[in-house]
Amino acid sequence: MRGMMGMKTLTHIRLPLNFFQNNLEIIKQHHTLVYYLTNTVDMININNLNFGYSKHKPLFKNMSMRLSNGHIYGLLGKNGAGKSTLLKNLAGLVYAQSGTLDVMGFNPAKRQPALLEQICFIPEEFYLPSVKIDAYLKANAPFYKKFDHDYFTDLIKEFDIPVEQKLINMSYGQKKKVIIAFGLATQAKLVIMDEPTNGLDIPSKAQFRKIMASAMTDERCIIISTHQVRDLDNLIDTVIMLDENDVALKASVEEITAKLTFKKVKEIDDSIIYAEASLSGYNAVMPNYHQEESKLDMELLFNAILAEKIKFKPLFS
Amino acid sequence: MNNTFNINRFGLLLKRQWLDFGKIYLISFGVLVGVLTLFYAINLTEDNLKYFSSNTLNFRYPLFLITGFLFVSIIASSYFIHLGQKPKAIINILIPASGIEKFLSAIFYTLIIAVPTYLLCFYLIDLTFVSSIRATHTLTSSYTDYQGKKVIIDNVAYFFSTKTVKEFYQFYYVPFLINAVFLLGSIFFQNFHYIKTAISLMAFVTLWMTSIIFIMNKLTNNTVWIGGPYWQDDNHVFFVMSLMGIFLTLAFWLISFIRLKEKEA
Repeated sequence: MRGMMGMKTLTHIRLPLNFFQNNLEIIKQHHTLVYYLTNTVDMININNLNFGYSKHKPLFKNMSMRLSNGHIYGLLGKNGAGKSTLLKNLAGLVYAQSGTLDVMGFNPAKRQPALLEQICFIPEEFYLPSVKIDAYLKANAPFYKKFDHDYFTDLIKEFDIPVEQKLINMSYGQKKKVIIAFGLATQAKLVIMDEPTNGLDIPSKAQFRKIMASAMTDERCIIISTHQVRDLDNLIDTVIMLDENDVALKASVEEITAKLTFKKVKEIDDSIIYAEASLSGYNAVMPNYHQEESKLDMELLFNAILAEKIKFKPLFS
Repeated sequence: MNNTFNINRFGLLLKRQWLDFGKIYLISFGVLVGVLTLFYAINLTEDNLKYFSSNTLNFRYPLFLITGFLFVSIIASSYFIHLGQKPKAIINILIPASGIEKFLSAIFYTLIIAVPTYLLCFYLIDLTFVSSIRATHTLTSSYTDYQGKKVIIDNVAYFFSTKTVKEFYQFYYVPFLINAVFLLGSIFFQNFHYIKTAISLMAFVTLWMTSIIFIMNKLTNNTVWIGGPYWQDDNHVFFVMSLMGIFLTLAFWLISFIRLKEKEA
């Protein structure tokens, strides 16, 4: 029926009748892409995703989740929980066994150029060829229509990268900064970063946080996976925690601090859900009954969720 | 945006791939030039030229076939080598180009560029050495054909003008088939692409030939051929072999394309 209505409109503007039929897929994709880029909607829709590197060892079992633009998501999980794998699924680098994955209206497994130019993927381990930045840029930037050369130059300056040096001769941290600068300059709508702060020195981590905060726009969705939760302090607005083949927690920082309070206490009582011994007593997580303001301690939350999953579930269901 | 094929994007991809593949290609080409020159130089020493005969230049046939096989197979086997290493594979898979564009760029470099450059390289080296011999030597032989016509053979002929090479046309599909097999190997195997492909190829050819001989022996043992003379003609047999070669080439390319699309990182 929709198709028929579309065809009527087309005959009205005197396009050949078979125009829609021949280009239906392209038109649909273009329309969906425009829609996704101009509205705050679910940019990523994961439905009953099942994935495993071997059939007997599933990594995700019926995982479902929605991610929207205008957010910086922090993806946390133990080693082997599937953080990198989830990111790879989103970028179409690996294939799900079953379930559906929708990224800006595309199936990432099809690896269509229209989607690929909207994805900036910063892997944990990467390779850069033995050329200078200029040559790398000349070869790769033209694939991204919105590539911002000035922004790239600014980022390279800010990161203090020696532009005359060949990429292969740079340190791991410098290479990482180049690849981050390149990824952000592509103006991709979906930014996926796997352990981006690994290998960065202390000043660079602060620069990274500043750059990422300024790179955030309403059109963008940024997903950052990390073990070093302190590197993401004040940067992420939503926490996603993976555990036992599924999403253990997906909540905004606001929601978490509204429902939980993070405190230093001298003694443990029944109201405390989880506590860790510290020099001056205990770092504790407890329900926020009195709407107290506290700073989210991601490391504590992470350990708390893993240890007391059942207690937290009703709070964030 | 056309997600299947876009000529501008394809052009960009060719340019980009040169950054990765160019070095491997140029090194292989340099080695090829060195090997060919060396073989010509070793076989055409002053001593050998003193006793120049109709067999002196025969080393060129095995040289052409062996170096041709090695060059085409090494180039094809190197193209997708990066897909075996995750960091490189991720970058290459995420380049905004379609699967068909990525596959065609492989065909462009490993076949459309590699085979003509090999032929040109062999031609130029042969031209250089044979021209210098022709300046000082002439050697012809002759025979009378079945029509009573006298045929004169130039024994210092350029490689591509020899009668033997002109009969190679029945094997024109071979470089394509070698390309298809080794291209598939470079996608299929995670590491040691060349060795694994070569071993698989040898195993497959051995198995194929053994089974054909075994089956034909079983079928024709104690029998007499009563059919027409069609299969007694070499040209017909070579024609069928060419068809099979073309079919296998297309099949391997198709499998390579599918494997490339499905490659995970």
